[in-house]
Amino acid sequence: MMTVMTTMRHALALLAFLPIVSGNAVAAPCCAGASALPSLITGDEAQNFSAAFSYGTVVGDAFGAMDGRLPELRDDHSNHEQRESLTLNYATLVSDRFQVGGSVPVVGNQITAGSRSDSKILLGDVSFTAGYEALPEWEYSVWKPRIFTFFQGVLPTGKSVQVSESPLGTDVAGLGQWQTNVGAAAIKRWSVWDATLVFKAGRLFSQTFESSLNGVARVGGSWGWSASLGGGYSFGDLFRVGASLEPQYQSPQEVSTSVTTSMTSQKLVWNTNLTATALIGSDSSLVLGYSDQTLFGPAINTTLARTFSLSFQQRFER
Amino acid sequence: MKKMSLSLGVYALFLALANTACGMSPLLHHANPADGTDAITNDSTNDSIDHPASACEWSFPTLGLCAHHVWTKEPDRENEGSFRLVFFKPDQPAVAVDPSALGATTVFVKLWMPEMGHGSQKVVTIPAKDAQGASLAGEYDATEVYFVMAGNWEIYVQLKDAAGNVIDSAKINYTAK
Repeated sequence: MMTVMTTMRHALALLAFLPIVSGNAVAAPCCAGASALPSLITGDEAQNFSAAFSYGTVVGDAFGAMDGRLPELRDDHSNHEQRESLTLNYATLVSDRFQVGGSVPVVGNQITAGSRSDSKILLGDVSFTAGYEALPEWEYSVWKPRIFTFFQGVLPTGKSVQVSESPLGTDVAGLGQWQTNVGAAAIKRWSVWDATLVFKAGRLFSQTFESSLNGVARVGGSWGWSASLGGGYSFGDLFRVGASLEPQYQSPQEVSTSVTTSMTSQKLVWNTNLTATALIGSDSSLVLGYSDQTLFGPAINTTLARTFSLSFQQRFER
Repeated sequence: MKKMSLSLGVYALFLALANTACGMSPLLHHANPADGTDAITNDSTNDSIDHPASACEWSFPTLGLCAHHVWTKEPDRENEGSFRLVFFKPDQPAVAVDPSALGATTVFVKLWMPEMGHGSQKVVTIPAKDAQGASLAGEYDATEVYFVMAGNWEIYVQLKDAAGNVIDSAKINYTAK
């Protein structure tokens, strides 16, 4: 009985923390934004902490909807852009079914264009989450998943492209706009197989920026959504591999400056995430992730990156 | 020991993969020029650096002026460019007219990417001079012209009075590849 319980606990631990399950894709400085998925405890622990390091390279550009061109691969003469991030995630239960959490990313950008090169390390857009386990799994069901609903707020702590003072944009670390999202995550496990479905929709609020380089710019609000459909397979109770497909969409925004008023193109990108999770102790695990934005499309008005991530996750049992 | 070996293996695999974030994609177009010499090209609205002086690329209705440009150094994906901006009356294209004589003391050039909603680095615009250092009336040099990323851009030219108020503004389209 004890062995069965231990095995079940390990199995849940492999699916314990949502952002890790679905990888940790990052965007290039021009298109920086908060991670698509919130910090949520989806296992049986009381608290969860993770530190995730990611290293991404921009390998292509997808043009705006009006442009008409196919996405293009960058070559030796293009800007070389690397983006690293260290993201600290924490979530804790405040009751049996309520939880709160937060995510603090630190972003490092390194860009080389011809003979020019620059790098910066900055704070990204900090986010917080309030979650509720809307459909617990009190008893086993073949089909009924555990469902979590959540609210996510994103603070404008990351420097926006509108106030960038770097010619290469290395000091851009976020959208710099308030953002609120609501969503739900459904998680189901069948023996060694599991499936995850997450949907999130939200509003990016208008913001006025002022900088010595660009003057005053007012960026209008927009709507956005993201979804993630994934699955995984566990080998024994110590190792799991997973994959997910995660489209992200943002509607056009009006941008007004002293020179021009224009409507941006919509943005759409598809993250393909692969993860390998290994338990390294009864309450901790390592997650190796790979995220690729070039495998599925259409991609619109965004840079396209490939990102590797390595996460350490520590759980604190109830 | 088994768990320790597993975690070391995961870490080693990450380090190996992190150095190889490259490869072919089914989504991407792979037909970019390899040499980059034609990395940035003009579109139909500014398709030649040899266009005639009469080409009214930027039209300023308030002051009744036109302007055209000639690349002195065309930018590419690695380097800044520069162009000569020439103002003239539509009915006298061969005669350069200085906007300052009409109250526009400042010529301001800005690069803007409308679909992304952001600009590029600041363009420096100064009155042009000939080889002997004499001012060329009605001609301005725009330098440090750099398109930070590929895509559709707009090149705005604004004429401002001494107080910084915009008297006239016009744009052309530009495609950076």
